[in-house]
Amino acid sequence: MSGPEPRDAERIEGRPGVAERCYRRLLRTYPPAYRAAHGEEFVGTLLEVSAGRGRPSVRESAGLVRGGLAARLRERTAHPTPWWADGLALGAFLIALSNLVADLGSLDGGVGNAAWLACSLVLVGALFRGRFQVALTVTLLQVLQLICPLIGADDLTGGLLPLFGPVNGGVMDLMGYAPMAVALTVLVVRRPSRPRSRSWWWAAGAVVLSAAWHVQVPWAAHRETICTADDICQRVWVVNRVELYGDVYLALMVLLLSCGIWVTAVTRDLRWSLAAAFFLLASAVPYVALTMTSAIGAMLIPIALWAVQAVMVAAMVVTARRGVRARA
Amino acid sequence: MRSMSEPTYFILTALLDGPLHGYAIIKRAEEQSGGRVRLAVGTLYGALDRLAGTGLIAVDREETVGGRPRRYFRITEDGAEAVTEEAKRMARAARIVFGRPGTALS
Repeated sequence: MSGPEPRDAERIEGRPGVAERCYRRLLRTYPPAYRAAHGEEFVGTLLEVSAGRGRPSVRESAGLVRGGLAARLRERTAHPTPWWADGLALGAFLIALSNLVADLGSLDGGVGNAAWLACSLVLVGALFRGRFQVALTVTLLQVLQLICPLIGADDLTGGLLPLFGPVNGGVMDLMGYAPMAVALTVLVVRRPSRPRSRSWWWAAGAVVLSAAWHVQVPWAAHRETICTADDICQRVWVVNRVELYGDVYLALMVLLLSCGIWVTAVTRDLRWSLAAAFFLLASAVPYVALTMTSAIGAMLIPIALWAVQAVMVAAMVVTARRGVRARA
Repeated sequence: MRSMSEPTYFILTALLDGPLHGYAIIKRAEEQSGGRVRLAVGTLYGALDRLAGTGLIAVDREETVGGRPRRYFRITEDGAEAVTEEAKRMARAARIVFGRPGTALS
């Protein structure tokens, strides 16, 4: 059986119509090679489906975007890099990116911090391009910088390397870097094929987080009594300012994990859940510190929020495993 | 084996009578499902790629119509077996309901 012939009047006149132009733009969500192979066939079918309509269909447009993103994700999983290596590399990249944002937020212009920031930048760049040996070298250098103050040593390299780590670094900072060092060691030793470069969209996330670090928004006001040196007192309204970083970080995490669940449902691949679990475990260090230093009441909300993220990661694992069973 | 999704079932069913191209599959699936399954083009080709990847369908031939390429897909033996098994499973499930006194398939 063959279907009806294309009936797009504007196509017959030789000029693409509004619908065709819109569909062609949306086809850019597909990988270039896929688009080159099947783009014209897609356009033909889309015009047949929406024959008689001047405007593009919202349903077809949404289907194209969804299909294009899914095709890109499937292309990623078809890359020769094993899923565990890509997952570990993505997890390490996210930890490095998160550390870089924190470093940018606490930058005070000092030379020491600048050197530390340079290390963080090189680490993110190396993981962005999948250069594991460079990334491991930089990570070990940063670990060394964190260990020295902890053990009271000025230098462990016999004068080769000055100390330039954060002056207030502690065991918790070290624990934050340890999982990344382990993951990178595994990647360097096992030598899987190098994964594809990460998307520049990750940089957009880092920029949003960095901006949020410095932003405080006015949120309600309260009255305070302010007295001068002459004991002249008056009650004035003081605007409360709320730091945005925590809320933006949490919103971004929930958004990313929601995307992760969708991505896993599309690809039925474990790499995204491995990366998320790895990142979440590494980010658990502050919560561990909190349980040791805070009262139970202060811990409840942060730990509950962390637990929500852990449940979302578990949902990713279950989704991926269901796909594996369905294929079996 | 897990039950297959409704769109997958109707895509495979549409191909049982012979190879079809994308638009014809959309129309056939809509007719045979009584209008329940209306596949968006992006969804259809994603499903066709996935089914071809698992060996349930294959590209039969490619033609050029109106200056545009058009692939015809055919169901494979594995695909026919999978959709038949799914139909049997649904028939067994339906018999539980329609085998009860006073309940008949209209």
